[in-house]
Amino acid sequence: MSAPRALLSMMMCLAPATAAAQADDLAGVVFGEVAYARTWDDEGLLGSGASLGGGVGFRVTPA
Amino acid sequence: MTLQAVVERIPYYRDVEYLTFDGRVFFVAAEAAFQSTRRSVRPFVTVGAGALIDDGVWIRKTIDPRAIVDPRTMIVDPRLSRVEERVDRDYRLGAMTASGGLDFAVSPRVSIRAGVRFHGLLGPGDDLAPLIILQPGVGVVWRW
Repeated sequence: MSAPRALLSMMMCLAPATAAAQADDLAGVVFGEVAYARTWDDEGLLGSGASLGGGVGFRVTPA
Repeated sequence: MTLQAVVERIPYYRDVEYLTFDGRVFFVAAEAAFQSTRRSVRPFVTVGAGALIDDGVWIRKTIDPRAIVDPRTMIVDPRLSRVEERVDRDYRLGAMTASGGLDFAVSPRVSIRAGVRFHGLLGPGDDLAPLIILQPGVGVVWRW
């Protein structure tokens, strides 16, 4: 096997591991969501509506 | 485990013959999130606690006594409108939140989530205060 082919084969084998490591290294997260909310009090349904939400987080333990 | 802050605006509206509820809940919470380390479809759960701020109005609609034409049959004059009594709703209460669902990876940084979130009061609140909120929904997550 020629040197360029060997190098290419090695890079292809390492690429998924590198990508996975990058995904695991992403500790920060920001998110947004839409939902259909139904709200109750102690006697019954107060109503419903479309809710909006979001947040930000940080991973504190290894993935 | 991921520690995260959550903010939500949850409106509610219900209008029936004898009452109307119209309001919105502003919810702020801190929660812990746990997500599977699988690559493509990752189950997740979250649990946390925060403050539930409810602002709205409760309208009770009763028949105006002057509209009753015949008390025996309760026939009313439709030209006379109902009496509406408005009760303001304004509550600030502690509440817990929990959610669960599936996280679908689009790329290492981006994923789409589908799940259900639940809110419940931590302690006894006013009878009129929101007690439970259930929200099936979808969302987008970006990681850095």
